[in-house]
Amino acid sequence: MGAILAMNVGYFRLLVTLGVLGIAGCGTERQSPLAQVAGNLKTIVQARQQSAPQGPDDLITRAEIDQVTVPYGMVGIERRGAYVTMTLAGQNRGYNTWVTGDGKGIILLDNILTGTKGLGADLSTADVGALPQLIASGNGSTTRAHNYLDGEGHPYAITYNCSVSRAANEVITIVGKTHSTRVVTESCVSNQETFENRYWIGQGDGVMWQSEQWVSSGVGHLLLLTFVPVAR
Amino acid sequence: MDKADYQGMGLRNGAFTLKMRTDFATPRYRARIAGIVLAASVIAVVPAASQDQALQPTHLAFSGTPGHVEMPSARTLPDGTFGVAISNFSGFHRNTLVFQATPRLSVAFRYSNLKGFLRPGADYFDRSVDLHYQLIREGRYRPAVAVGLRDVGGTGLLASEYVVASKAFGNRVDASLGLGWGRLGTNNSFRNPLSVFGSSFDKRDTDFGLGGTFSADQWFRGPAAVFAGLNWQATDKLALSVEYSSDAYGREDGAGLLDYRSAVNFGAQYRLNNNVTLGAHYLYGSAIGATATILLNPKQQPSGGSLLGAAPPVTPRNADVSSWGANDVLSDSESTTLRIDLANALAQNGIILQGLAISGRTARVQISNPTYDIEPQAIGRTARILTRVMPANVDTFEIIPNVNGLRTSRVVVQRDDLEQYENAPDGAALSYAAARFDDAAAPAETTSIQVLPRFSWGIAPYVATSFFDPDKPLRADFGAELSARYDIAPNVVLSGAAQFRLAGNIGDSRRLSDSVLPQVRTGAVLYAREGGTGIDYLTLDYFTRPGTNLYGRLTVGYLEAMFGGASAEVLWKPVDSRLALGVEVNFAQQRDFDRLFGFQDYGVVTGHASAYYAFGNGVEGSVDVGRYLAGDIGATVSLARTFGNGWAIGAFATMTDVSAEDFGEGSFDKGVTLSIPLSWFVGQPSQRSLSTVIRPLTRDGGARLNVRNRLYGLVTDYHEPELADQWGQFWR
Repeated sequence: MGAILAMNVGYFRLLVTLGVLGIAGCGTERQSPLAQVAGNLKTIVQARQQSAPQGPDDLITRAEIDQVTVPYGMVGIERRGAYVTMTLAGQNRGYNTWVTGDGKGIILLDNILTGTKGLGADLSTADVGALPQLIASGNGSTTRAHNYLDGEGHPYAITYNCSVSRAANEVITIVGKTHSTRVVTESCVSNQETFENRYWIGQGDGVMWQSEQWVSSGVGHLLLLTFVPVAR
Repeated sequence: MDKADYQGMGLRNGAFTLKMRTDFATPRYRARIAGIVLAASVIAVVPAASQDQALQPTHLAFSGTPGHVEMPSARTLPDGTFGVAISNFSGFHRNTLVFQATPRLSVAFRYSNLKGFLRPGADYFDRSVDLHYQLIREGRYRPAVAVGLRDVGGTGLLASEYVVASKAFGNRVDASLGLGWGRLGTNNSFRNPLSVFGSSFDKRDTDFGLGGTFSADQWFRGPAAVFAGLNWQATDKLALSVEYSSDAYGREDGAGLLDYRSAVNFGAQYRLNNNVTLGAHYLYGSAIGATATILLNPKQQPSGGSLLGAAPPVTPRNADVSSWGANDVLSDSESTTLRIDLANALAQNGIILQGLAISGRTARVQISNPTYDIEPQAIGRTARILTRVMPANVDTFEIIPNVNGLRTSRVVVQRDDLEQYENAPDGAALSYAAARFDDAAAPAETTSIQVLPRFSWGIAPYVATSFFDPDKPLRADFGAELSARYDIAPNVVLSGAAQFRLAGNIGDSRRLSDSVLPQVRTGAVLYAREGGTGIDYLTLDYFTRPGTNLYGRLTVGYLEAMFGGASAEVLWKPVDSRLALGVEVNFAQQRDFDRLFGFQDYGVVTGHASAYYAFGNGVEGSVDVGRYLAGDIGATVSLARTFGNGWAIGAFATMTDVSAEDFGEGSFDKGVTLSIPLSWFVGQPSQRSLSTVIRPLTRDGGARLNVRNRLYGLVTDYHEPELADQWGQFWR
């Protein structure tokens, strides 16, 4: 090896280093990428510091709900124990787009989850087949197709075979208000994964007050609570 | 062996982000919203473990490729995986960066310190490149078979080749048997079996001269030897390895660097998590070794996917209570109100309105997108916002994304389709099929151009690094960089960046250039020494569309850290074409080492004719033919793979009329490019990315001017095939 050296100097702006240094850039950018990273870290630390996850009852009171006259609800990622309220932002051909307090999107067709926006491993869209009718009648079987994006942002689909059946009626309490409900369960299998969804539908009023619905293997189930239903 | 360097280009000069948060709850539905952050949404989702644990390597061998302890196996990493392997035994320290470039081909770049290898006690820094190719996939009874070349561009002292077969038994045991040449053919070696093809296979020449050339005539030559290895996945976390090495370490043993007693090596690897594995090893009957392996798969985003919030939903016209008729014409004040509403709605989504024209039933909108790295997201959001603000009689939207005032393409979408496909199960594919893409060279009539903000600036810390100085392999400078941009017009931009070094030692290097060519790149140390505070670039850029499918750029000023002058470029790129052609001419004058306003005596006319081709699946190639900075004439061939999420890795090589002797060590210019988008780490859209160029060597031959804003990179984001590749995120 010769004594020659080809020295090289480069400007290698290491984001990781900057993150470690804790320096965030500033300027006309409202929120710099570094601030985003810092914000994310802060949120993670705060989330881990909270000893007990906060449930719906810790976040809102019935008195506060009673003041709301427009469609209103709450969504939680069960695996993470994180809950947030949501309002209706758009309606198009039966699909209701709900938006959470932190800007995430939940798409429901007849209260059945067909899409999420911004949860990470999102459900892009879903074809839920005859599910709305089956949930109303309480039993039967159907297929549902879920569309996801892979790690490169390219779409792929998983098709499930699902059977719907009635479970024992339950009286549930949502932030201080009780509902008598009939309970419908939906068991789905594919060659990749299986899940079970549950729906609590008010006896008499027919409103789906509560449901547990599968998003993806990365996110798990959502718990969806209805505070003020969408007018029919 | 080859010398290498590691030159960073820094953050791609992303545009300035306007606003990240969205808030679009319509006033009617704006209820009292509990301000709870969905905290867990930022917590990384750990991807599911692979089904075939035994077949999916979780650790890399000492050399940095999948294997046992030192010996390779026929395994591959998951397609696209990046790996870093750090290993040390008996004073031999190796750092390897490996990339699984295709499902079968992996490329490794290694920087080692083999202390005492040439002279007792002296550091011996070595750079090398390995290739590993899986010829045969594993079947039920058939083993996987791979062939490998180590230190392919080197001087030959450490080079070796191998053919290896690996077979899994159950899902916990993986066994390999291989044949090695070169270094891997030194223990209990025998006559080369390939000698049946001629006695030329008997002899191996280990003096490859200056290095940097592919000495294919030496591959698989000389004596051969057998190696074998076994990995046993004892538990989910712990794997044990045993192997029979075909490397006799003759030179090291003779120099007293390693007490070679046995060909059998043992290893234990403990997997900390999906990304990190640590190993401890007992080698050659006397030495203790340690390894750390970090594997990163671009296809497994830490957040599990985008955390970008919901876009404003489509507002279907049947829900629109406005009284617009089919033939209504907007009054001036209505038109102004509409434009302001649209601009505000777009701005809330990080998109800038640059022009609006409504004629008949068509609304033509020019936007610029400083926010989204996935361009169909910007187009999709603009389209949805248009359904919310446009009068009901407008049924066609033409969206023209501008980049530095260049109308890159025209995307035509029907309002009916947006309403129909918004939540449709196959809505992304349907909306792509229904959209039309064509050239946008003709000026859109009656546009009211708006550029906001016209002035933007930022200050951020920077780290400049210098690798592979034999006296100090890692040097670094730290400081602050102030950047600013003023848009005189949408297509006339004044921009600059200045750096203020606070601390560092790059300029302390005593290794100065010995180049016999004009020292166009090898003066880097002097720039670092004298230009600690200086101007990185300061340019006036003019962009234009001279005709259909044509794009033009003129740049004057301090073009890059080492050269100033003027640059002109023309690019031909039809929107739906995989092929692009370009011509660039530059008048470049070398800048003073203090990186301020002065120039040195050396000036050159440099430029290239370029052809670019997108092969599909994110693979792009280009050929540039022309005159380089040192006045040499030649061509550069580049090949790059870009993942759908923005990760990009590429390689390039430049051959010019400079002789290998005049070029110096390495013989010709070559390197690897790597770019990682910031959005991948944070899960939020960002046009910034971390980009570096890894060169085995930077010399003065085959050096190109680093002018910013080359046209191909600016316009192809909004052209095919990139739009098709990312359209799956139109509705995100």
